[in-house]
Amino acid sequence: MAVVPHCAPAQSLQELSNLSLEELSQVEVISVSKRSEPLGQAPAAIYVITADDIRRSGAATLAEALRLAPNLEVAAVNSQTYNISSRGFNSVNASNKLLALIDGRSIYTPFFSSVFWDQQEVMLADVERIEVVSGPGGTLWGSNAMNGVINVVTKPAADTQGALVDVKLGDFIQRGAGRWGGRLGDSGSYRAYALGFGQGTTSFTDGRGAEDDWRAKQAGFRADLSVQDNAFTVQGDIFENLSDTPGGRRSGGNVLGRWTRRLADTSSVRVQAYYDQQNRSDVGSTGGGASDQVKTFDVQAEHVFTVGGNHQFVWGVGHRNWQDRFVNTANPFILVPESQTLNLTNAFAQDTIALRDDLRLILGTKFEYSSFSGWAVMPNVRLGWQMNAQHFLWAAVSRAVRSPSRIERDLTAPGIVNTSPGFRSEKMIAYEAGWRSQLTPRANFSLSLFYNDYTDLRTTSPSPVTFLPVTFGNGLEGHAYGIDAWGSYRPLSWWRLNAGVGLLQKDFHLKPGEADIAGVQTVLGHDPTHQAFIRSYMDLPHDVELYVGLRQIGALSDVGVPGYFEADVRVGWHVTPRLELSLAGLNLVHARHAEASQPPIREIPRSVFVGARWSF
Amino acid sequence: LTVRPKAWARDRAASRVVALLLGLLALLAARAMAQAPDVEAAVKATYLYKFAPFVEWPPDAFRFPSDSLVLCVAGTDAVARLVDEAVKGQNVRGRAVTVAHVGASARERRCHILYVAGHGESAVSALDSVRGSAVLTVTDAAREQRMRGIINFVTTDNRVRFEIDLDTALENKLIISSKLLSLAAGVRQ
Repeated sequence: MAVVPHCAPAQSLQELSNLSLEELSQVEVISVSKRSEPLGQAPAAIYVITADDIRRSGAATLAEALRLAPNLEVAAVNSQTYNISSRGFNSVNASNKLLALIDGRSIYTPFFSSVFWDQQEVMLADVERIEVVSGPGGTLWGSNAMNGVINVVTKPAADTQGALVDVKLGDFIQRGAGRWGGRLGDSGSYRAYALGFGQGTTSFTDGRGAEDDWRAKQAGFRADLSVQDNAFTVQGDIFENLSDTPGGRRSGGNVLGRWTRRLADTSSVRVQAYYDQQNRSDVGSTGGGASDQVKTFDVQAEHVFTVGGNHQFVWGVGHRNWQDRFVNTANPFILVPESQTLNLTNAFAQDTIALRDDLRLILGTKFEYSSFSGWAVMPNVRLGWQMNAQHFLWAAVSRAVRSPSRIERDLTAPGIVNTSPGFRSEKMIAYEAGWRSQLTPRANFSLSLFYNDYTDLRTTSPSPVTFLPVTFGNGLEGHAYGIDAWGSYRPLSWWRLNAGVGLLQKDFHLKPGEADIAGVQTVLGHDPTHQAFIRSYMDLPHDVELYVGLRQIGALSDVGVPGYFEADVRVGWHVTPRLELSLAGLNLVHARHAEASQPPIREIPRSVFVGARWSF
Repeated sequence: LTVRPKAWARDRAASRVVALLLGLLALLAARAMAQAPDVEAAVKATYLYKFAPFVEWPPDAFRFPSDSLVLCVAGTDAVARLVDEAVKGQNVRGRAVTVAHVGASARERRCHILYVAGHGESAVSALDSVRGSAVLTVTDAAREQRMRGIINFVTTDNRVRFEIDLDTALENKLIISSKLLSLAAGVRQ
């Protein structure tokens, strides 16, 4: 749906003059308010992971590539599962306040409002960029965009012409991918890809193998066609992932169509529809098994236009239909009803008002109706001030909502947990302010402060007297505050340094009369109070490039997971413009390290791989 | 009523911080209030001289090795307004770049590149005036063939790309490098 701006370092003519033609053709010229305006004017905390960053880092999966965003917490739980969140609330049960999209297709599951990252892969070589917004995006994106939005954007088919083979072979990851792109007549292009990968096992803290290795295969296509003022895109993917111990299968596919029509220079209409199906089944370690299925049909339309010279208006409507089924014979936890249909309907409008040439006010709101949880209103007010060519200040107040997931309302197990039909949406009001600056053509930084005021967060409430069964309630409230900061510095034409730091404090309490027994499964998650990154990108002589990425993640002190320091190194050699060979080592500092709080704790091994990328 | 000394000291510290912040902001604001340019126009203005190394003009287009590359601009739009600033201090393969703002007929000036702003009849006549001479014509988002230059900017997926008309290039005796062709969003021949 909405595209957020690319905060490319290029901001002035002088900087543009340092770009090559290829780089010029990649400079983004639209923004959060969907108006062509100076870069860096989006009044929100946005970090953009570029295609070049992904390639140089050696990231082999989508979840690993997300580590490049300093405003995300990324913790590998085991070989297959990741906890990914923004501004706190990271754990298997808590990272449910983030919206993730791949080319406009929402990928979070209505079962528990989180993302099954082992069911979401992309052809990494064809990713154009990943936009990561920290902070609420409910007005444009809707419920679940509470603490952040991840927007994976793949390249148009016109930019992926010809053949490409991308292979990584290592002791932990083995991945092969191939793509072919061609033309469709004068004004269209297409591509098709297939990929497969296998990932090794993590270890328990005593060194025993966790036997969570798995393998995946996926294929997909994209076709783009433009006819005069109309642009059409059709794309789709199909996948199957398998693990042997104790046995699991994830499969599914999607197909998406998008039509954009330019009505005038500053006015356009976009209509998008997709169907997505995801199946997940696991064999229980003690017998039985669990399987779930979600079928999603989503359609949305939006219209952008200007009124006078000062108002840029965008409004839209959308409808999503979710049909799910959850069957569990491995333990007594089931959903009642087993199968459910959810309908989510929304309408939104946002006006960007140019108060002065240098001052933008954004007013917008979304109304969303869920057949599950009723109405939700998600307004935001944002103000951006481009002080001069170097400095941009912004501030925002927004309300965001996370609607109840199926598990929160319908989970039951006789004598242990009863269904919780009274469970309501979690709500937040966020206060944000930020400063982005292009200090010199070689240095820029972004600093964002936030104070998030939450209420009605999930509690696992015991029954009076008998304790069990428990139900889910909305008994927690409190606030989280912190800083996201990052910057980029190019000391020499061939050397770029990126650094980022995130600080977070949480202060929550039970509302009067409420109780919570969630313990380690707390909805507050287990967050490090700090994380820091330094990444160095060097172009060396003889077409060799060197990447060094260092990260320091604080301890999850409440659950006893120690902090860690890790380093990734990758050397790439462009043998010819069409062939690149690489050698990479990931997590080199420790033989194994733990990242997440989910018991039993698994440790991620040090790994190395050799890679080749060949286009012809 | 007594003021608690501790609270008073804290308030004073807080007001000092606020004063410091305000001072810092004033200092920043006092710096050059140059407007950040419209990025889309800035990218296009930058393209104009960046195309040159990938285009081969016939030998007589430059009489002396020291001749500058003349970038002509016909009409006014956001790009045209930025061209002078964009080319300032730039050179192309050792040649300085000079900008000439021309009227509807660009013939009088010895242009190497001609950017034609707008899509009106004056744009058409500016394009017609250099048809067949060694000039790289560039237009912005022109939809009709007669309003399209050899290179025509198009904005797709929020990026500024360009189409190339090889026929017209040939007619104007220009050789476009394969590198430029490979970057084009579309090539007409």
